[in-house]
Amino acid sequence: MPTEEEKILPEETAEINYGADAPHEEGTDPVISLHQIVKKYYIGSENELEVLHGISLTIWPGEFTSIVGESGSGKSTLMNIIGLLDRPTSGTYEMLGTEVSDLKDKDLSYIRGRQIGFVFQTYNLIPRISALKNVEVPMMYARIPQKERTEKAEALLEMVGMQDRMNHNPDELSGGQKQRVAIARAMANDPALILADEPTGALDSKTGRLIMDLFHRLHEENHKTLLLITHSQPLAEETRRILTLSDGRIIGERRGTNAS
Amino acid sequence: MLHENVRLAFVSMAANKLRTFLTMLGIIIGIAAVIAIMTVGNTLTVANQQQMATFGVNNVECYIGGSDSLDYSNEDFDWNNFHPAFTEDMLRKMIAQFPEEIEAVGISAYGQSGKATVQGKNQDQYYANVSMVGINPGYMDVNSSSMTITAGRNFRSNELTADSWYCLVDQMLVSNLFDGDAESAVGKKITVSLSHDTAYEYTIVGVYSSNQMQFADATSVKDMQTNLIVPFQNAKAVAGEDSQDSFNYISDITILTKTGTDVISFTTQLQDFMNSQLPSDTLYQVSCYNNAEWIEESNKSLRQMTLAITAIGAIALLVGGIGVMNIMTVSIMERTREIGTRKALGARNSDIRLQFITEAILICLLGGIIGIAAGLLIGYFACTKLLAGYTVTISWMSVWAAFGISFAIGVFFGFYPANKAARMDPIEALRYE
Ligand SMILES: Nc1ncnc2c1ncn2[C@@H]1O[C@H](COP(=O)(O)OP(=O)(O)OP(=O)(O)O)[C@@H](O)[C@H]1O
Ligand SMILES: [Mg+2]
Repeated sequence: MPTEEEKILPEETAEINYGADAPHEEGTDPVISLHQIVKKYYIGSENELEVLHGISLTIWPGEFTSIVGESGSGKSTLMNIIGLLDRPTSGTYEMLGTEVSDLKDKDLSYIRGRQIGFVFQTYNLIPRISALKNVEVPMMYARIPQKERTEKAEALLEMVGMQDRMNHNPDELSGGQKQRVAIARAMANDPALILADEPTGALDSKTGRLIMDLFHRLHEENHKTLLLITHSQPLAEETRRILTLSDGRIIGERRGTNAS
Repeated sequence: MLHENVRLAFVSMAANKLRTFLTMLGIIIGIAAVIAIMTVGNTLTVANQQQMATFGVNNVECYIGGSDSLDYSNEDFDWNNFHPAFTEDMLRKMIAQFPEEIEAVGISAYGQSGKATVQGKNQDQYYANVSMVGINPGYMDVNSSSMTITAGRNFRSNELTADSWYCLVDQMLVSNLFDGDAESAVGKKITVSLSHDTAYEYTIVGVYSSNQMQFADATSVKDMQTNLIVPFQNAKAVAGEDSQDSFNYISDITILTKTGTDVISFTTQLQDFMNSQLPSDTLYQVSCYNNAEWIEESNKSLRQMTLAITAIGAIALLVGGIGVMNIMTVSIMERTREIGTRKALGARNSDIRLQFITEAILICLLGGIIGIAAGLLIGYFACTKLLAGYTVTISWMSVWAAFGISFAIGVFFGFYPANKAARMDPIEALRYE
């Protein structure tokens, strides 16, 4: 049982909107602006479970942010809400200046497909279709013509160094290769935001390093806004913002010691 | 997008070939059954129609014979005086009774057999076996659908008397006597020697061709007997006044009805009328038939058979459809993560729904195509082996209908699982192990 004293700090942090006052270009909207986001499961039943207790967070264009925290602290839950895969129980969410928490499924799909790129711990490549076709998938749902899709997918696979494996199916690729294809796929519609939930979690440290370098490139060369969940302290230290999540609350923010 | 969905469907079908095939089986069996029976049915219907044309669907045939009450085993009965026959008086009254229905009345009777030769030609080489057939003026009209004049001409109305020594011959006789030259045979005289050593000279006025069957009871084609057609009265005179042969006892007649006559009901009316003309204590009875009735009857039993097999096909299709629904449900469950991923990548619910409906439709269409091919093959063999001699007629309408039905089954049975996939929660789908 937490003591009385320990409980005070999280309660106070709930008042803070992390990153709201961070320096940013005049006149731009934040990519993400969360206000008092609460997520509950089993609503109405006796074992109702509140997983996020009111999260307020602002992320500006071009920021590379990592989220760290213990297992079960709610990182993935928060990420899913940010990725519009899940809806908060309460609170507001503005993305690039647009309120998105009350949009219909169809509109959420539209934004997800064009503004957000996902990178998963388990890669989630679509089986039985080639790496190239995998990268084309988001463009297909964005109704981009076939020829353009193929050209773009080829360029992206080349960018992640997978030009020699374009026609291989996922089951013919190593974990690191799969993750590189997944990153190319996340970039397909040139989204405003890349969300990566433990992208190196299933990889050895050397391959993980390679993937992290790719993220740095997306950040520096492509000026993408990135949000990274990681259990690796050294990798988190490479990002400019580190948010610490604990038991459904952001309990602090600091600059990575190794940030460029 | 559609192209991509079709591609994906094939990829997914190919990934589980055996399962896909087993799923298709119901569809294949159902479609094949329906197509096969439709092919057989269509072939029979077309063949019936062709037969209808050759037999003359507007013809009614009447036979006179012993009544149903007659005891044929009665040895005390005076069978020598038992001669069921239409009298001239009966036929006249019949024509007077049905002026609106009767176009022509055809009578024919078989006479003796003999040998035809040509004077001045070697009789061992140039001969033909003939059977005399006497016809009345209406005969050619009644048989116009099965009999045509290929050279020369038909009898003229004044050439049908007892002293008209004119005849119509067929191509067989022309081959035997005139080396096959029909044109040159017309106008030639032939000598017909009958069995009792009497010979008559006839002039050929025309060559006919008939598609009615000839009996080949000869040892060679050359010896085959063919019909020598002569005027009825002439044949009767030749046969002899008192001979108890078919010329004096006309037991069957063929009536050509006028266009627009309801042949089936006319047949009953005619039969009733003819029986009413017989004396009340008669031992005779008239029966009338027509081909329309027979064809109607065979079409009816064909329709019943078609209906029964179609019902079996429909059940197979229903079972097949449920199979498709089942396999789609399994396939969607297995691909839950993929569905979640697609949603994360921007797929709308409708995109997911379309993808799986496309897959269900393609399974059904492919099953349908295999079923159509199998059905056509089965139908073809049934027609050629069981109904030898029929020209196989494919019912293209049913082939297109089979495509349509396969498509519809895909849509109908694919919709529920596809919709379930479309409505999956992306988070739960992504977490699915
Ligand atoms: N669908 C759900 N139904 C009920 N509880 C859930 C559901 N999803 C998550 N939770 C709960 O929410 C809490 C936070 O889970 P979440 O997956 O966000 O943690 P996490 O920080 O990502 O952990 P990890 O580092 O292990 O991935 C956990 O206690 C989990 O049991
Ligand atoms: Mg997690």
